[in-house]
Amino acid sequence: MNAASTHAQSFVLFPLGERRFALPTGDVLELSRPGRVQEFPHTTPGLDGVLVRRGRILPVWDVARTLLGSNALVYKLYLLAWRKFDAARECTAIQVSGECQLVHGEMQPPSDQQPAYVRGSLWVEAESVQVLDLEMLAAAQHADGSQPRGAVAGKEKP
Amino acid sequence: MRRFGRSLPASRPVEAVILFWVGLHRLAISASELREIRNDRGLAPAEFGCAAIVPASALFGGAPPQGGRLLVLRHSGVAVSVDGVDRLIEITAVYVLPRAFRGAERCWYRGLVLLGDAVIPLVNPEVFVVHAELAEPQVVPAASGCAVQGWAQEANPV
Repeated sequence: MNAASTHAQSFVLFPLGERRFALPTGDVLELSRPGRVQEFPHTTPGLDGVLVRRGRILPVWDVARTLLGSNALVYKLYLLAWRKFDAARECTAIQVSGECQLVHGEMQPPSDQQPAYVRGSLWVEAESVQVLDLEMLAAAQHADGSQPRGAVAGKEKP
Repeated sequence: MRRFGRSLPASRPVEAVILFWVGLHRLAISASELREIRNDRGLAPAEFGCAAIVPASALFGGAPPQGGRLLVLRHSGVAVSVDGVDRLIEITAVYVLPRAFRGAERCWYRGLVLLGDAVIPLVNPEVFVVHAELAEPQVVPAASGCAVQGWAQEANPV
C-alpha cells in the first residue's frame, strides 16, 4: 500500500453526465462560468477549441469522449485544471456537467482492470468515484485516434 | 536624470495581418508575407507569375473555394485560394498556441491573435509552400523545418 492510499487527501468531484469523477485539489485551479468555445482547425483529439478567461487563452478539453464514450453531454461549467508539459504546466478548461464538490478521503489504489488514467478510487456517498490522472487520460485520448483535420466546425460565419 | 516623473511606456511592436475566411473559420496571415491579394478568376498560376495555387481548404478542411480570393505569397511563387478576405488589422501581440494542442497545428500556426474576444489563428505561410511542394515538387522551391515536420506529422498522427 502506498502513501497515497493511507492518508486522507482532498479531491474535487465533478459530474459528467450521470457519473462523477475526481481530481486531486492540487490539479485544480477553479470552477469557471460558461463561456464561448472558439473553434479552429486542428488535429489534437479531445480538444474542442479555446476559451478566453481574463485575457488568457485556455484550451477546452472534452474528457467525456474517453471517459464515457460520448461527447453529446450538456456542459454547464468549466473546471480549470493544471496539466504538465515537461517542466511547464498549463491551465486547461475541462467541460463538466454541473457544480463540483470538495471531498476528503482516502484514495484506494486502482485495480488491474482499470484504465491507466485511473489513479485510484474514492468511496463517496455509496459510490465509487475514479480519481483521474490527466496526463494518462490525454495519452489515452490521443491513442484513441485523431479526428480528421479541419473537422472542428467554426462558430463564426463569413 | 529623468526629465519626467514617469517613464513613457515602451511602444509595442505592431504587425499588420490580413484576416481571411476558409469555410467557417477565420484565420490570419501576416501582411508582410503577401505580395498581393487578387480575385480568383480561374487563371493558371503562371498567368499571374506564380508556380502553384494551393486551396487553403486542403489544409484546414471544407469545400474548395469557388471564385474566392487568392493570397499570393511573397518569395515562394505560391498563391493560396481562400473563400474571402475580411480585412487588415494591426496586432501588438501573438499568443502562444497552448501546449495542449500537439498535432500538426503546431506547425500550421505561428500563434493566436486576440481580436476583441475572438481568437484567430495566425497561419505560418510555409505550410502552404510545403503543400505545393509536395503536390508539384518540380515547380515550387522546397520548404524546410517545422512545416515539413508538421506535414509529416499530420500524415502519420502519433
